[in-house]
Amino acid sequence: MSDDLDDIQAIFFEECNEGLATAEAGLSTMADGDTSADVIAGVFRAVHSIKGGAGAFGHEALQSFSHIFENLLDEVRAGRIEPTAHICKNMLLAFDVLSDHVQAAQGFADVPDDAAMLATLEALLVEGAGDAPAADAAAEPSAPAPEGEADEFGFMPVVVDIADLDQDADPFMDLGDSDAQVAAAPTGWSIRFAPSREAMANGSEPLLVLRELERMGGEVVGVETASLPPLRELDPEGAYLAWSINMPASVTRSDIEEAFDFVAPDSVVDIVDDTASTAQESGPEQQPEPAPEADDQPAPADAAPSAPAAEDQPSAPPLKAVPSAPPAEAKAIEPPQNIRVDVSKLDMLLNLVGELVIRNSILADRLSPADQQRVELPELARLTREIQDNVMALRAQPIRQAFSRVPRMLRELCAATNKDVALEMSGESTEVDKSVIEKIGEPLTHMIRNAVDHGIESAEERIEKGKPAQGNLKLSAEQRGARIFLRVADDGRGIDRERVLAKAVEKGIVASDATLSDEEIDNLICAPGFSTAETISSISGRGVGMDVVRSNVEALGGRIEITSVPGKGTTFTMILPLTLAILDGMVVRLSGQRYVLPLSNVVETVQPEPGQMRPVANSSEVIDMRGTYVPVKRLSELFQLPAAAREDEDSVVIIVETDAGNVGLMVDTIEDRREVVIKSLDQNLYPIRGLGGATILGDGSIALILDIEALVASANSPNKFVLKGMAA
Amino acid sequence: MTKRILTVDDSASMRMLLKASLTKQGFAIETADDGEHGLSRMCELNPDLLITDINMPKMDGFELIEAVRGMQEFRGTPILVLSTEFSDDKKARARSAGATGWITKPFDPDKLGAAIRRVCP
Repeated sequence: MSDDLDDIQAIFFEECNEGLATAEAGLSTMADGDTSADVIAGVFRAVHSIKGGAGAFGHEALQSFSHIFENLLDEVRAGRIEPTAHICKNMLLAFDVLSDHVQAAQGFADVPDDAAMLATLEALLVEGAGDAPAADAAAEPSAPAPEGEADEFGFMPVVVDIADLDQDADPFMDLGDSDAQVAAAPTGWSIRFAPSREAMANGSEPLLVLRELERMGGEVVGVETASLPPLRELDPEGAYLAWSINMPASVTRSDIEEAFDFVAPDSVVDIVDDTASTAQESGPEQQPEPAPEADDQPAPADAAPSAPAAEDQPSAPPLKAVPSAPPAEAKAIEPPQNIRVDVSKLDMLLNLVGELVIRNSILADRLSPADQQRVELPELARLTREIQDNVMALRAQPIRQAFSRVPRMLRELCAATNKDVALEMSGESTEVDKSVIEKIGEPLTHMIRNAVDHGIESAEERIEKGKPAQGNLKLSAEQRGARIFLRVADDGRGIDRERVLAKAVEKGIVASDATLSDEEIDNLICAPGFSTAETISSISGRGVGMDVVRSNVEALGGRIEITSVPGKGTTFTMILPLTLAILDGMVVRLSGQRYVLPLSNVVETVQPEPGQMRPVANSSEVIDMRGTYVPVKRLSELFQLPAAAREDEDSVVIIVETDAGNVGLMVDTIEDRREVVIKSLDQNLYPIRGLGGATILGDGSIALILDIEALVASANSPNKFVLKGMAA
Repeated sequence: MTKRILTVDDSASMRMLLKASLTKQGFAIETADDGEHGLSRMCELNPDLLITDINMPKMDGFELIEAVRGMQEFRGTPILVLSTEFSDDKKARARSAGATGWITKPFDPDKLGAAIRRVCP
């Protein structure tokens, strides 16, 4: 059972996270001024469900916090509290605490200190209650304790003579604890029970009450039949009798009341404490719901049908035009079924599929060309490919997961920097491999911190510059081909290139006489140890900033583009592969070894004509590409391999696109183009900058996969970056 | 005879929890995930008791209760509302729709079982 419970609880937490996302989206919408009923109801329902489950699974702190939060939402929903900007802002803050509680309930964090937030919510509730008569607010218990939900069972009958009924004692919840109250029990009870004529209507059955009372030791001592109409006027579903019952003193009042929990409304239940003999007349104030009829008086005749009126058909609401869906159709709307699967199993599956792909190409290589043409092989290849795609799809997750933390982070950043920044998000449903989502969290955080801390100006400065006081941050994701473009764009001051350059010179990152393009200067902020914040703030960290982002993104096989317009803002674009497991590659040969280049980097390939390659200063070379000079790196030099004794004209230059512009890489030959399964090296080797991993080729041999960006950057950068590898 | 109960709740964890705890107490539990689905399951199963949530997509608990009560064969079937809501106007609405009783979440499984036995012994 406990395993079952754990499983159910895991599902509850998934629901919590969905609920939190819904609530946050709704609250943000409200904060933006759309306080329509649907939006409020959505937030309410989300918090409400979290509360319900929290109670069920015994997360008391989460439950009591969500209870108070829900109370406030309910007041807002009912229109008793105006959803002002102030209220919305506080509800967003309450949302953050709620998220922390959910984290804590899952054991991911400590239970947050919510005292201050609770006090704020309570204060808002009190303020709101002050505005309106708010009878409902008063009627609803504000105590967060589970037992505080006093009227557990709503349908209390008209209870007469209630001297000591404590509404706080939930009659039903006390069932198991009734022993505790026996001591206080009086010596005996007389009960008069006159079910309303509709008693049989809503599935209630007075006989069940009598049986239960008898089971508790009660005795029916009298039946009133005076109300029975003549037979022809008798409604077979009407209740016409009233009973007198004596109960022993050992039974508590709450036990007796429990027995009446589900009697139809407007029935008369008259419980008299025989020993106390303080019988009082009706106590309508104890009636928890507004009685539609005013017959609280326990007059014996009140249940009597003075009007026999068969048309006063009480028990059957008129048949409604309800689509009573035929069972066959009902089966068609079964909800989609989900199974939860351990991620490690998916990883294993992916790995196996990778092996399958490799074996498939090995098999193809071993077959004669004639055999390769036979239909089985292409079919096998197609199926393998399809399995691969499907397994990849299993791991794809909407990038929303990575985005979901952003609104809160931004709120906290704004609070810490005293800035006001609006967030716009788009493309949250773009699907990316799970491993990518897991790894972009940190770069994303850095980029957003940067944007708020360095990019967006203070409100005063913005007004001075004629910008709206509120800054704007756009976060977007889109898929283009096999790549994901993730953008963080701010409308801040842009990169101050003069200052960046000065700082880079001062820090010795570039030579003082270097002339750099705007783009190169912008890219300097990704250099290690570079920090332009006027004061090192707790937000952007201490000098670890964009260089960390850059290396993280490179580790994902991606790169960063920076575009900045002074005074207008800066856009960081992370360009990431959809998956980290499979690569469309070009197989090249160099000094007898084979390497794989990611095809996404390749622009074109050239076999140099005599004279097309030209040496330039600093012992580097360029290639003349239709009048444009592209720098060329000899791969053998980058890897410090023995120089190949071959003419340039026998080699191939592959023009690749990199952060630093196009670069030519000289290799011996191009062998093939194929999809390769990336195998990580970092379990076996220290990270090597320039190598992205390895793969197994069709003939079973191993080829290293080149990380073009890192390779070119390390050879190209103004200062040599510390060698850092990428983990595939 | 084993009592057959249809529970309608949009939360999967709540459905599973209800099913697990009530099955243990000897009830036969069927589930549905919203009011519409609940209504068609009602017709299909004709259970001894309906337990429904209030806040649900498509068709909420009030509408479900009204629809069920509107059908001749379910006029006497007990219906319990199991909801985290507890306001009096909600309860009044549920009652006028035709609910037999109201239980506020979270529920204690044993007490829920006792409540069930009270309306459908």
